[in-house]
Amino acid sequence: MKLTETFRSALDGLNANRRRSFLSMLGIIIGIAAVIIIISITQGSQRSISERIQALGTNLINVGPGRGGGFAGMRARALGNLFTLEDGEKILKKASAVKRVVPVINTRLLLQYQDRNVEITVNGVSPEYQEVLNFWVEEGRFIDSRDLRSYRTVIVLGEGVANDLFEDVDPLGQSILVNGPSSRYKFRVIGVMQPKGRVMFSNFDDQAFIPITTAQKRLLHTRYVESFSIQAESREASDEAIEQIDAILYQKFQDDTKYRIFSQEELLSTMSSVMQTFTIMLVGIAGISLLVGGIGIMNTMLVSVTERTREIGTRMAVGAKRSDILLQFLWESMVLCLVGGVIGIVAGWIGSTMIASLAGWATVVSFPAVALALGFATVVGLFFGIYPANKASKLDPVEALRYE
Amino acid sequence: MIQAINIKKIYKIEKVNIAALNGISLEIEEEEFVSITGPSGSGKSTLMHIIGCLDRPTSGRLLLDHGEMGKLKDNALAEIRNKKIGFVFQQFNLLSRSTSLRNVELPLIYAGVDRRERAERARIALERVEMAHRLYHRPNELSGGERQRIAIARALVTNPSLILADEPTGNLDSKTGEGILGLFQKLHQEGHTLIVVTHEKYVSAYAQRIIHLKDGLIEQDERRNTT
Ligand SMILES: Nc1ncnc2c1ncn2[C@@H]1O[C@H](COP(=O)(O)OP(=O)(O)O)[C@@H](O)[C@H]1O
Ligand SMILES: [Mg+2]
Repeated sequence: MKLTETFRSALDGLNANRRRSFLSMLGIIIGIAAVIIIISITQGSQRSISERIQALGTNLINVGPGRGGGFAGMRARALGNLFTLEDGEKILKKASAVKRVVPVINTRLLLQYQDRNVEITVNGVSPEYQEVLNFWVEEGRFIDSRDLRSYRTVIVLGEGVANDLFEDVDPLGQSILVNGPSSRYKFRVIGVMQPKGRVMFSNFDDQAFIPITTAQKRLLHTRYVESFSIQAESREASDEAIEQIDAILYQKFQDDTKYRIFSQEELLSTMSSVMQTFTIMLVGIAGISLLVGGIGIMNTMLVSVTERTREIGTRMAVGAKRSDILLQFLWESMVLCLVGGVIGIVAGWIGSTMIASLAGWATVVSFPAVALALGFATVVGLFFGIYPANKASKLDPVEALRYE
Repeated sequence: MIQAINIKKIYKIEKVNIAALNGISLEIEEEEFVSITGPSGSGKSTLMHIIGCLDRPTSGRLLLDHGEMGKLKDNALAEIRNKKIGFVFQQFNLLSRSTSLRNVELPLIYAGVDRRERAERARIALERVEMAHRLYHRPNELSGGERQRIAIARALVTNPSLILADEPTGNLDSKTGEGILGLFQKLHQEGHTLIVVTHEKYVSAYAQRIIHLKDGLIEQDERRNTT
């Protein structure tokens, strides 16, 4: 008997009990949809994370307070009393692999313009910030060295902040009030940044930038800075730069738990390994649901074999070989799993498109994910179909014909 | 064409041996019309199953067209059932979800006949049992007699050398049953070899030869001339 005919017999069998066929497919549908959604989410988010981290700046190295140092360390971190502007200058001078150093202080402040106000993160930075972060001013100008020297009260707004405060008004040249912890200053808006969006945990459009010296002397009354954003000479020089920075800082603190140096590369590889673990875990869970779905299919097939014992006997009486019966029932469970798989892929595709549009990244339903899902479904169909099909093919024809 | 030599069939149930056939020897020639009678439990169905290669005897030999059946594997027996034998059952045993045409095609499917020829031959078989007007009906849309005709068409469709019918009229009223037996007679006249199991007197009246079974043995083997 031809393969296509056993296949057709299988379809007849499934068609005969459509509702049951569909219900037994549910487990597979859900499992496959879950696999597709999980893979597309992790791929989509991974892609967008790495794209955005790369957009954050080239060869970027961050230096911040360390985790260690006991109580004193925690206190120092809370106050940010660790690095000074001089440390930055020293790094720039002594570390040959370092191209630019930007000292950073950030603090949450309330900005007011007429009757509107926003509470945002305000960064005290130096002029090189633009190059180091690869984040540029769009209108007006960025902070320059003269602003730094004379502690000018000038501010560059992120795109979102500018929109929130000014709406239709041109923000350039306008004065806004900045409320410090103990004082309040009038700042002049000198620029608006290009839109950049969210990178990792911070949204660059909802921030503002002022000269770091202004932040230190006028707003926070401190001589410390919180962290440094450092640009290495090149991507290859990154590791060397980290070593040089570490040597300089260790000389000062004599304790490498007080400070922390991490590069873009590291961040990326940490993120992707976290994502990978996550993906494997979730796919594992989806795999379990496929397994449960497979058991459901096996159960349906066993019931079906029992119900159709007489039919099996009849088929044998008119000349069906045991292998014909085996194939027919194997096809049935394969078709159940494959149809379930296809429905699951469609459902998963719809689901991941919806999630992607909510999360704002491009949908990635990749060919490997679909192939994996179909492969899974086939294997499940085969694996859980073998037992019932084998049982059907082993029936004694006379017994089967007698079966009530 | 059929030679049975000292066939025994013994069922073992909870260590008790039940002999369904106790040593049956018989020969049936081509184009014979044989009726097998006997009380319920006398072994008629068991004998039919063994002659039809659906079952194997516990001991004894069965030869079909001089071929030794005991030596054959399951697959070879399936092929013999497919090519040489047509079965008709008391319960019709049609596939309930399939049309008459598809039911009659079933043996041809297993014979590997292609779709076009299959439909053609199934149609011819249905014409021979006067069911050409019911090609696309399903069994539940047909009367008992009509169902049995479909089942007979299914048995005929491969042009088997032997047609076996186990109480084909058992589920029918006597008038419909007579129609079915008339059909068997017609098939016999067209050259088919038939073995029909029955324990109804009027059924056996058609046959040329009546074999009477009792307790798994042949009690009487009576040949006679029919008109
Ligand atoms: N599968 C079986 N297991 C045990 N005993 C059986 C089985 N099949 C038939 N028999 C026994 O064999 C005997 C003959 O059965 P059967 O051939 O069906 O008789 P008939 O068709 O003449 O009524 C009966 O006594 C029956 O109980
Ligand atoms: Mg019987």
